[in-house]
Amino acid sequence: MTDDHKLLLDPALLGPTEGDAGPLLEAVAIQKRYGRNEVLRGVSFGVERGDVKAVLGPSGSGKSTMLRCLALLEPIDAGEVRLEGRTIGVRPSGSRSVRLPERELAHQRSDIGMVFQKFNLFPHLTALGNVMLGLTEVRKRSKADAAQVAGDILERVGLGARAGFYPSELSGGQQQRVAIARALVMNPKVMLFDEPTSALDPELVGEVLAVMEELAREGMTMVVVTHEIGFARKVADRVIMMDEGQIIEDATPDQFFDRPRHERTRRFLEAVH
Amino acid sequence: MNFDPAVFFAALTSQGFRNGALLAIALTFVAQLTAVVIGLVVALLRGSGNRVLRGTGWTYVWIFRAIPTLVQILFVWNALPQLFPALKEDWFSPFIAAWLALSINEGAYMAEIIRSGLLAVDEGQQLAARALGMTPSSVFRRVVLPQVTRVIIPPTANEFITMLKITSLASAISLQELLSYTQTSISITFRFAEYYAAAAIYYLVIVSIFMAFQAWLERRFQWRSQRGESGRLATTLRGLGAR
Amino acid sequence: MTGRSKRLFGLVATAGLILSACTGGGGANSQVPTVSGTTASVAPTGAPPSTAASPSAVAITAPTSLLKAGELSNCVDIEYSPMEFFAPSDPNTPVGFDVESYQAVVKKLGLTEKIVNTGFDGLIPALTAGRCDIVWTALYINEDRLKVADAVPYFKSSHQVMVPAGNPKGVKSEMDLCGLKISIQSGGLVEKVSKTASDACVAAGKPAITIQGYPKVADELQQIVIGRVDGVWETDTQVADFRLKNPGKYDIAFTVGGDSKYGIYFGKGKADLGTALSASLKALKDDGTLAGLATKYNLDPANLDVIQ
Repeated sequence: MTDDHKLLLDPALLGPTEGDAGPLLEAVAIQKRYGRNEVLRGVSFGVERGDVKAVLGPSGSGKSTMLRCLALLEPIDAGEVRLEGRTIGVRPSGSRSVRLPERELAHQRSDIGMVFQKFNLFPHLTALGNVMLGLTEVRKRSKADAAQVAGDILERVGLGARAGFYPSELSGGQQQRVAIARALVMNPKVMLFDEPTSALDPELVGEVLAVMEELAREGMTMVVVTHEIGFARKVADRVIMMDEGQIIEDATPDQFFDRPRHERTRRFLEAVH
Repeated sequence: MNFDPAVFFAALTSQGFRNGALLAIALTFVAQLTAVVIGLVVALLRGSGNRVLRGTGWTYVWIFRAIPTLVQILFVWNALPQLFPALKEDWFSPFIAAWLALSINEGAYMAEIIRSGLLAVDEGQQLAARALGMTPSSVFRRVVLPQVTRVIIPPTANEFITMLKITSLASAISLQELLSYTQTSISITFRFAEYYAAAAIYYLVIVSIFMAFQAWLERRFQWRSQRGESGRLATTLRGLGAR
Repeated sequence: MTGRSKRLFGLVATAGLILSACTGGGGANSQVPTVSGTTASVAPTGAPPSTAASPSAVAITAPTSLLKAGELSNCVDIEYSPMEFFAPSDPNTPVGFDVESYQAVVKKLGLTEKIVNTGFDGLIPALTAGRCDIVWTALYINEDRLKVADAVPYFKSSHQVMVPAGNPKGVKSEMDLCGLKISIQSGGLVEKVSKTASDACVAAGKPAITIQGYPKVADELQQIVIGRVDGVWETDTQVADFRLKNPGKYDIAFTVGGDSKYGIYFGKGKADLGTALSASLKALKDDGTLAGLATKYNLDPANLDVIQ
């Protein structure tokens, strides 16, 4: 890194990294069913401010679902999601809680950034347009303002020259970096990544992981569902293993990868290594 | 049988043909545009979570696709005034009646086209938009609708061109548009080749203009940047060793 | 395709269409001459001859320029009561003054009949394309049409304006229609004549007549039933028929001046067909057959005077 390397995050907006009691984002006993299929059977975990939590597990284990529930994109059947200690996504109704209407959910979602496996960039907007949309539609910034901020952040992920290109004209790695910039520009308190590199050709994975590493280094709170063992080892503060809707292991990277406690974790690691 | 070029050219440049053509074009525009709006509403009804709304949408499409267009036009003109005497007044002209009947009829077809367009938009699009914190109406307006529009341009242009021909049905309720003027001229003069030829030319020209407009619209929705083109070309050239 | 080549393609395609239509029509005119049918006259039926000229001695030569030997095909728009319409009791049998007069002529000439139900605007194309020998369907004779086909007159007819009973708007002449609404059948002579009347209104500083033209007579008449128009400008035959079927509801406001005749149309260059038709009509008029048919349909037999 050169000295004049631009930071991805504005330190002033990051908030204190020490001294906050309790996790920044927390899942408390979350249950979720699709029809008769129980996808999440009581999932509880939290991520501290500034930490990176990696989530591993076989497909069908409920990792993506859990992420979407944390992002308030899916309703939960039981349990709570808490951001900075406050329950979000519901309001009290008598002795129970009901899910907030979409308009208010939308408001709470803007604090949580999400990056998807399939990028989900808006094909009818340029890279710049994609990054700007959240600023103009949600933060109500002026177009000129938004364009400037968006251009800036695209610069920082290394895509300044490509700002005028449409998603169909970008490589997979470039698209995912735009997606990260799009989520980042909203100044989220935490960022969730749902297998961000699984859909990429191997040679493009590196550029995306580099951006994510940089984010972690600068202190962003992240939850990353991934298959990239190397990344998890290097960047994560804790690693969780999910299987069949439950968390079966939660440890530091060293413990997780070298001395896993559970048989299923061991078998999974052998399979992916 | 002979073909009299003088009659042909006189017909081609006649006021009657010009007026008939303008009327047909005007009716096509207003009816099709209204139909798109109706179609959007009905398509959204059909996709609603509410069962009553869904059923309403389905019923609309069912009824107005089943009844022949001509019958709908005649019904609006001859039967409705017996239920609503106000429709006998001058303001309820054949043009307005045809506009009403054709919009409602075509709206059912547009609803299905738009519904298929809505289905064509990837689910991840609204997921990503919602994740940014956009409200449902923002998601629809800024993310879903532009993509639906692109998908439905070809079939909608098709409907537009068909509508131009369907407006000739309005001659049954005394609207003097292009085709009825042609038939009237033939009945009076007994010269049909010249008048049919002139009418054919008019329709061809109008449809050609429609098609050009469609091509322009599709280009606008291609979502390709100029630089993107040259960028890829440059990259390809570089890859081929041209330094 | 560029815009210019699109237009060129369109012109070429249209030219191709026209050429094929031309040759189609031209080919049909070179007919195989026939000498079928008998030439003997038919003994008169019904009313006995009233004039001195006895028809039983006159032999009518059957026409030779027929499309199909022994058959006189006739294109008719069977939607014009009382001239040609489907019997209420039998929707497949055409009846009416025109139809039954035609059948009498066919019998007179010793030919077989063939009626082809054709939409109003397809009648003359069918004639010139050689799909029928004659068009006998209450069409007026006018110069425009005579440029393209020949005609033999058979019935005098004039136009009338029909209004609701009691003539509420006091319509007594064309000028009284200024500013009012009428319905007509489009594509006929009425279209021209009513437009002329409307122009006269405007020239006199009055509002124009609102004229609504309908391709089908049924729709045209429906408008006065609904009450959308103040009057219907139609042929006297049609008015008579409609008033017969709706007694007491409608009056005749006035009869439009000027003489018009219904004619039997046939293709140019068929003098023998014209002669045969004229001779048959004369014979049937003289022996009272046509008068009988006229009375049957509430028409005035005096209008047959145009038959010479």
